[in-house]
Amino acid sequence: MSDYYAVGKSVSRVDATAKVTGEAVYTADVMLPGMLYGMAKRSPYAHARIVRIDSRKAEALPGVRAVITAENVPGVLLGLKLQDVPILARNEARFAGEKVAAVAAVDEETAREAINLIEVEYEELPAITDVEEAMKDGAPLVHDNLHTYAGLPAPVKHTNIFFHETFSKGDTAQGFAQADLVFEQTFTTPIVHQGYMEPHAALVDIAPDGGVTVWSSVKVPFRVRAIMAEIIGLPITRVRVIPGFVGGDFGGKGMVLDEPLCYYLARKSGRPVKMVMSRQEEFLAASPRHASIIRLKAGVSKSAELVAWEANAVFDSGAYAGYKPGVGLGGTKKLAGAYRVPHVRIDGYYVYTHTVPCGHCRAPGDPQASFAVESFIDMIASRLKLDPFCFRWLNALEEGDLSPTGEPWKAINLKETMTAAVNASGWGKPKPRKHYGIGIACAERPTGTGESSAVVIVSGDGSVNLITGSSDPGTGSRTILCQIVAEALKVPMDRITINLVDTDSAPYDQGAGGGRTTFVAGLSAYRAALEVRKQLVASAAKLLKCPQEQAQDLIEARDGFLFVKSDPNKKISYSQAVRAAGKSQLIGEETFSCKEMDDTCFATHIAEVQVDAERGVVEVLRITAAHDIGFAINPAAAEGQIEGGIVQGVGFALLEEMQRAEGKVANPTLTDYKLCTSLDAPEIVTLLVEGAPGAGPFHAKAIGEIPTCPIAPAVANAIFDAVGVRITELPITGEKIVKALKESGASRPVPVAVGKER
Amino acid sequence: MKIPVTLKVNGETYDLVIAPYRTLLDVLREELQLTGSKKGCDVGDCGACTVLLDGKPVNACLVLAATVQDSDILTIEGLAQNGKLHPLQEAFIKEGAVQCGFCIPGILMSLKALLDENPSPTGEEVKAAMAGNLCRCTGYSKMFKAVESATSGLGR
Repeated sequence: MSDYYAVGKSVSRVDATAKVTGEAVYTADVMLPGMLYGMAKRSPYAHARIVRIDSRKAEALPGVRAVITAENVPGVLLGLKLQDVPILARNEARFAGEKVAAVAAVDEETAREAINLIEVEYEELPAITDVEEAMKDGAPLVHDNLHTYAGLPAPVKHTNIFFHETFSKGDTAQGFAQADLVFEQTFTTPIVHQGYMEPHAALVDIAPDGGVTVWSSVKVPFRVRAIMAEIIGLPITRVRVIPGFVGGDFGGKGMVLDEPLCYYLARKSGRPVKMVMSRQEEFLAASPRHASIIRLKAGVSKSAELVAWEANAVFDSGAYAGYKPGVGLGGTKKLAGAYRVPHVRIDGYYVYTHTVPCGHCRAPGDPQASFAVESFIDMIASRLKLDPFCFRWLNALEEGDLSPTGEPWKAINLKETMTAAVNASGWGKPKPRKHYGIGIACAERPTGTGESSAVVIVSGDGSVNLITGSSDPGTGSRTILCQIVAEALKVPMDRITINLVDTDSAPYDQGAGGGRTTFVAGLSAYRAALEVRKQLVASAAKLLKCPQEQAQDLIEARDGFLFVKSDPNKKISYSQAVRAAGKSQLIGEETFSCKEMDDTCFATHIAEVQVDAERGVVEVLRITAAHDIGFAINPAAAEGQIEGGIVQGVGFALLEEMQRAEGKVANPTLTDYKLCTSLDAPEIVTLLVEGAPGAGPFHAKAIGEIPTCPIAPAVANAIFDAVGVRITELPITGEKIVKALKESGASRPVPVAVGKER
Repeated sequence: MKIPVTLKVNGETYDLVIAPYRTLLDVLREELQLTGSKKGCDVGDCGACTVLLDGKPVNACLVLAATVQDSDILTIEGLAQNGKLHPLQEAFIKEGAVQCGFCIPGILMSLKALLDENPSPTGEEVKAAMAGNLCRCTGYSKMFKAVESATSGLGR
């Protein structure tokens, strides 16, 4: 155990009591006097011209207070980077589920009835719903005016490919010429939903002086403030965003959805308006994970070293790209894995289609890349008749190696995670029974960057406030921030209060996401606490008769008291120190911003499965997950991130797919779109591999996103080990396994679908 | 048209006048301001609105309020008694089984129903009792552990 005071311990969460008693207020729980219920009318067509909207019947319905269409909202296009999303469809609907009108009424029933009374005349247009068709020259365009959009990374015209990014190192032509064996394989993954349990909710109230208050279920209150202020044309300080507890995020709560509609409905009706998305709307029109088609090509030497690697990924973005903070996805960079390859070329294509717009989902692009790369690595190992662990070990990155795309990383701890996972699992042991299989997969993902601020106040009675705008979408980050402050000030956790505060009451924070919170918000809280500690020490020095110039070195803190190290019996309480400073409270503050990051994190997962070869049913027995975490500030919270990520990953591997029929989501319910239940959850063995010098406080690294990445390939590899079939299209359903088993036949027990050898 | 309805929730009686088509979930949340029961799907798939009707777990979104006037309704707000948390609540806090918290009220109510009938359930029985409650954050692991910890505590 560490000598730390408050970090490195699995303390209970600061908000757990509110959550187990039902007291925690989520955005949909907020009700204001006179509040109206908003609802959206959505296009049933994947692509249509809006000829005419007649809302007279809806407006005449008793209880309806406002109806709006594109005519009543600004014609701005919204987007976190590429700006292409209208507030309401104007002239043209680009996916089935796109909002074309909205109403506000006295209750939900009336709002629903009003929606049905709005008459929209559409002229159905040809829809392009296949991403490869959409890439072809002359394909119908999803956005005719793409070239005029703000945020386009490079000028493009008359195409659905709005972004093409490349990463390269060395010379792949030369690399493949040197290779003794060349393999090729294509993988596909479907659209999957983040699956947060709390649907999006928004509530807007406009004060008589025009000031706007927004309640929102997002994890980025300051971003919502900026977007709303810009749409409305107000200084950002005239918009106040009040976050609720966030009922799960996984990347899906990072952008406004109905907030602007609530505002325009509130303006028209003169009443506060709340909109809560139904689960069906969540599936039809939120911002799920991109479907992908990933083609990989690898050149290998006779000594089983990877010498060349090409990856080509096509991400189906759906009808809009504005829901993600970058135009591309971070996962594209992961398309060569965490292996030592001298010659690499990666191409990522982002393509519009007439289907649900995709956005950010826990490690955006990474699980897709990881499924392809780590399945492919196994297929090559199998072809080389090498143990999949040994083949990985031989090529795994080590300290001092450049990343596959040429970056210098520090603290490369991949092999440590591989060793930990193998030692704790059934790897290398005799198979306990027929159709049991074991599979391994590795992943890498950097700690996130960004900007956070924190204020730490020590009051006259010695109690402590941590004020931060950082959001905790369920990860436990608010608890971790309190632990960090408790460590800096050496005060018990129960002395620290952290409240959910609005954008007027906290300094700027970029918001949760990208694995940044522990690092960025954590360092801002730590430094703010150290700053106030300095003031406490300086004040206590007077009472302790310690020379000021030496006070910071000689005076120590413990349990809310300060004392000179050599005389621990003479103690000054924080309360005395504050008063001795002649103030009611002492305040420390810090804004921390980081834009570049050379700190990355590694993980190795081992999946053990049992396959019913007759029915194709896969039971995931056990996952052993080793994570390079640097330092676990709250081990239970870190385990919670890993366990949740794993079960989400099992869903991605075996169950989840937003099926599409002519572009429209065909299974928009939790009956037809399967999330893992308690019955699907495997046993999980979590291994926190500490010791690498992470960028965060106390050398912590990030843990929120990477657990979802290596699961699907670990499961796919285990299924191959169990029954000898290789499924390259997610999800790995029973039907696919049974079909592959039938096709492979009994005579070919281990077919490998890799490409030609030279 | 609205009708008079009397509901007994967490030991208190409420006389209401509501439309007959309103669900128990909407009435709890909007008329009684008992917003602990969550609306995650409104069609009985997610279990976030689970409440107990005479001790049996039901999805409040699938029950019409007017049809349960003779029942004792227990919601998450009634789980702690006299200011003391239920052992399940204590265990969920202690074991780190709570993340975003949205599914937690429903899960705790399903588990309370289980433990009231079967104070020492097997792991499989716990999993089965929770199978109608979706959680996306935790992977369920720490919840299983919390039930174990609560039941060993209850036995003492």
